[in-house]
Amino acid sequence: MSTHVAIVQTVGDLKTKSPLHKGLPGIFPTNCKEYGSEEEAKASHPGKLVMSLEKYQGYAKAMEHIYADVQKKKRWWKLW
Amino acid sequence: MLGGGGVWAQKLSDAQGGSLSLMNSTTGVQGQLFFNTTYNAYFTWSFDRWWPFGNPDPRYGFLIYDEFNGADRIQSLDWGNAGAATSGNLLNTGVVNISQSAASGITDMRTELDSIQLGTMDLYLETLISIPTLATAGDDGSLTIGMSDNASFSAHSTCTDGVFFVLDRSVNGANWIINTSSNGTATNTNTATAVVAGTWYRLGIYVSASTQAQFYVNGVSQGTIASNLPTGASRQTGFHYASNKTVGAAALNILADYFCCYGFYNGQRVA
Repeated sequence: MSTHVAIVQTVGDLKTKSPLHKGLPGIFPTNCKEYGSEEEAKASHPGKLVMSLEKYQGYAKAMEHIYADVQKKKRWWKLW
Repeated sequence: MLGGGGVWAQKLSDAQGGSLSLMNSTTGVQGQLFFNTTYNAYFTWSFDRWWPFGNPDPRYGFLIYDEFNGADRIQSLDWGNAGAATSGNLLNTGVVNISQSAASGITDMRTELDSIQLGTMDLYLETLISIPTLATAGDDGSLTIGMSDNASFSAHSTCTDGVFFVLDRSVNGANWIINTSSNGTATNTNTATAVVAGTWYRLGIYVSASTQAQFYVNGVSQGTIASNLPTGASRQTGFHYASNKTVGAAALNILADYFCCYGFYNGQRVA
């Protein structure tokens, strides 16, 4: 049973950004792993951001707003 | 009695009912009926599981099924970019082949990419597939099976929104990887369940509303993922099979025998 999420990769870590991730801020998560405890998550990914599943759901919602804003801007620039 | 009239009456009288959780905790006997009050639908015990009995009232849910017999693979689903029909055999009727040979290319078979929005309904999908030849370092690529909204080539089968199995030699050898992805952020878990070339596997994905996705191979759970389940208002996805080829010129194929899916909205969705 997963209780914690480790953000193991963000846009800032990507050497080449796919069209999907272009324009997103460096902190935007691209890859996560779930673990059964905070200790296990931290041990598996030292130095990476680890949070409870519950907290991550709120974090993901905030990231979703960032993603939506960037997509909106991309659409806007296409018009020009 | 020929036609089963007597058995039918007996089974209906045997029918029991209750919530989804009661059904899930109940082991039935072959042919037993259970009226699921959460879903407002009958289920029948089939060998080792409860399966929807007939088509549900569409106000509450749906059951779709495709044996891939038709020329355009359509029974109750409209698959775009359908794979090529290939010969069936005694146990595998109507097989399609999703095949990609050239590197940096994709061949896929999919419904409308954003046809499904998760979050309210419980959804179970199941497909029977076989990988005739596994990828190697010289002929590499990745395969997507499940729900994904990416119809473009992706070396590691990523997508914006999806819930799916991946087979990617460069990441987890011949073992399945289970995935969720929501607005471009993925959670994936490497399983220890290996694929043997040419063997048929029954892959299942059960999404419980907005809570989690559970993944099955031949009925055995491969784990659950609760983060990055695509459930937001713009997080739609679609049913998808894809072969993404990265290196070499030999074909990387998915043979698909059947696809079925049922979904229940956990209530009456329309008056």
